[in-house]
Amino acid sequence: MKGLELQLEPKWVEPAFTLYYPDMVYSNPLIAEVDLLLMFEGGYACVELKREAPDAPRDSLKYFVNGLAQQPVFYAHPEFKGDFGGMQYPTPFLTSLSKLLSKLVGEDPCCVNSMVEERRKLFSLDNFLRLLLIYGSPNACKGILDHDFLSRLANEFQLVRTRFLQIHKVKLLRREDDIARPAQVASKDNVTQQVTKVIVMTPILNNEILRQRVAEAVCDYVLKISAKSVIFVCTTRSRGDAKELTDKVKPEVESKIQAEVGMEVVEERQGEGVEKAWADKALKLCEDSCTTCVMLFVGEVPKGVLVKVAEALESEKSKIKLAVMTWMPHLNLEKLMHDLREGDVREAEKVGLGVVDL
Amino acid sequence: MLALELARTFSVKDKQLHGILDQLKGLDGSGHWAFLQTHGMWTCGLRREGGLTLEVDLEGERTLHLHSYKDYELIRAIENVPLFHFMVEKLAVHKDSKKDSEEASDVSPWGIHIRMKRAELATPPSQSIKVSPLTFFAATVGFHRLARSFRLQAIQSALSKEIAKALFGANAEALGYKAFHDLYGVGDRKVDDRDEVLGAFVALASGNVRTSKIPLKAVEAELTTAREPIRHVRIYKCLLEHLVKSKKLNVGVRQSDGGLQLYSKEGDEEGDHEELNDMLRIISRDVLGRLEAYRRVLEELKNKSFDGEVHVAIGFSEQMGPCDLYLLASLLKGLSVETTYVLATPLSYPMAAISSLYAALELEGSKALGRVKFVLASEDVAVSKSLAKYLAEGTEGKVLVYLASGPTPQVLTLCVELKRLKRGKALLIPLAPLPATAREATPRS
Repeated sequence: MKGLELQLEPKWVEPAFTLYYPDMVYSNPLIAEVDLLLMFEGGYACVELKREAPDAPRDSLKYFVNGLAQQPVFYAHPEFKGDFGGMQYPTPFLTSLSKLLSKLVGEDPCCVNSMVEERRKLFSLDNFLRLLLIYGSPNACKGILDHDFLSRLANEFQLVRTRFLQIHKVKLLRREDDIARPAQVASKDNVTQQVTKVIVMTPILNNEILRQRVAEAVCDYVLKISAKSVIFVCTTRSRGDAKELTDKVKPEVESKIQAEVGMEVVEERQGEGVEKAWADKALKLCEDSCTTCVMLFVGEVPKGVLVKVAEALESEKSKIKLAVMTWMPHLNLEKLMHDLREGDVREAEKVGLGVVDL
Repeated sequence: MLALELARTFSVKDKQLHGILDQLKGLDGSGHWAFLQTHGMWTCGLRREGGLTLEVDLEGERTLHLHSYKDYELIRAIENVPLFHFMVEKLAVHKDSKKDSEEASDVSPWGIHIRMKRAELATPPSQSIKVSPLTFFAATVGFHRLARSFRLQAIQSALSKEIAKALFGANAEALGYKAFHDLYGVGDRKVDDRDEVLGAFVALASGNVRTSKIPLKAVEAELTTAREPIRHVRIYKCLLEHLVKSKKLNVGVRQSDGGLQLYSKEGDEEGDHEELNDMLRIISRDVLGRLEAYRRVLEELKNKSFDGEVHVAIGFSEQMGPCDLYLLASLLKGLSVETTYVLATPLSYPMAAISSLYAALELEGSKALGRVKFVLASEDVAVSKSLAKYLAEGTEGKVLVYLASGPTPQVLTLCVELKRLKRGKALLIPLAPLPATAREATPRS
């Protein structure tokens, strides 16, 4: 039996990506991993990279569970020479992976790289658009993409515009008017200047894995900006979680940049709720600092605290900067391509917590 | 055994419905309930006349009954639901279905896994009650954290009128809005208030009983802020036994010192009225606690006066449903609202869209919410900044009341940006219960 030669040339080839359940607080939020996605005019196909043909059927359950079962799934490996040596396998093994890989980088590698970068900024939205691309019926896609706010985003972000075009091609949706050219928006570097103090607003973080990831992300952020001190501000109910974060972060940043790491517990005042006390405490800690402070919000901080902080920061000259911790993907495209050429198919997109300045 | 039967037919004329659906892009009338089931990512456009029932037994186990040959299309659809699998234990097809034998030979290599769940039954469920798609969906959606939210939304939606009356007094009742389930069914096939309430409580109790059998660590792994993922399991089990046995429930909502409280409106034949009331009292905070947020909104708006029309934007979190827009309409009746923006994220989008559709059908006509505008955004900071500009442009020169709820990055960005862009014409109100002085506020709103 010989491998399968792909006759159709895909319009786009999307590098390794993962689809996530929209609720990223889940510790295991992954829905499906796709090694390569081939997009055609009117359809798409998933490619699973496997070293050996007999490994391929083991993934049938995964593809079934993820609702991809009725979509075409091909298997491929960079070192597959196109002949199984008389063995019979029911799974379609592609022989033309090298051609697909060249399509992956495409005529403009910078374009793919910039898409990977923009995905970090628009992860929640891009994940949703990829879900539409994979799962959405043409009718549902059309209805959703015609939404005026999404159309606005398509004009603002190149990645959204590209996804719109891909979905339209794959689902065979006709548009009378093409999507307008994107307005070039000057991108601001996500750099915080001369920050000496980081105030981490710490609510209850019940999930053990989440606490570990938050601690790692705080460490990375503090080391990146070389802050002089980190204070976890918590309430009596989140004290335990804040203590755990402090214990995890302290040895790491003290040994590397000699930053102080501490914790402040909000004490409620008579007649006031915890929201005001929490916001006031954090703001006071920032005001006491002579230089710029970052107030970093992790997890689900009560909305009343967010509103009070926003109202207190009306002055545009405020030395308090706000930041949030959010999930963002990371894909090293160069490494992926290098590994694939070497026959290593393990490199994939990873998702971790990162800090975004407001 | 108690079975929930799905009611799908809208009581409005098709033409009217499709006109509204055209406005609310992303919805398709024929796939209306499939849309809910699958988080809106997929709709097969099946047209069904009924005959789909879900049977629930005392252990919370659930069997989905399908009644005709055409249901095989539905089986295929259900088996391939991409994001949410039905968490039913068995798919049961009745033996008198035509072409069963032909279908049985249609086995794909991948389909074998799920076919083990199929069964062919000759006996229909003992008693059926007709419920809205929301309650049916809540009963079948699974055991994850979001599924629990759907089950609470189903109860809250079924009790919308009672909740509004308890929160805002008799004036809310006088407004006479229809609840979500009132839009379903025509004539004799109309969804009955009590059936909807009973179905929603069966869905919640059954879901909690089943969830309690999952290892606690696995359940906790889905949580961020809640300390107690499943409380009062014994109570829910007793409640399920009671509901399956008595097959009726007449529940009201009243205000008590501890907040909104459920109570039984009538005793039953066995005389366990007090026992039922005790169970309802214990679960009241679970079921209705979040809705105390609207009392806070009422308080915050009480001392404000507005010149002319205002716009309202409500961040639609994953815990919100049609009841929230019902309460909002009751709450804002004294204001002159030009537009109500329903701000959804990918997570909350299906329920936000369905709720917007309901609001457009029922509440918009009453002028309580002005024009209802469903906005699909995301929690990304960059998208939220665009959203703030979009809202500021759409509400230029007028006051925008932003009810802050949803994911932290979106709420914080909108609060900061709306304050900056609206320059004194943005009123920010957290959609969270008023924090108690003696105890900490509920962290998730």
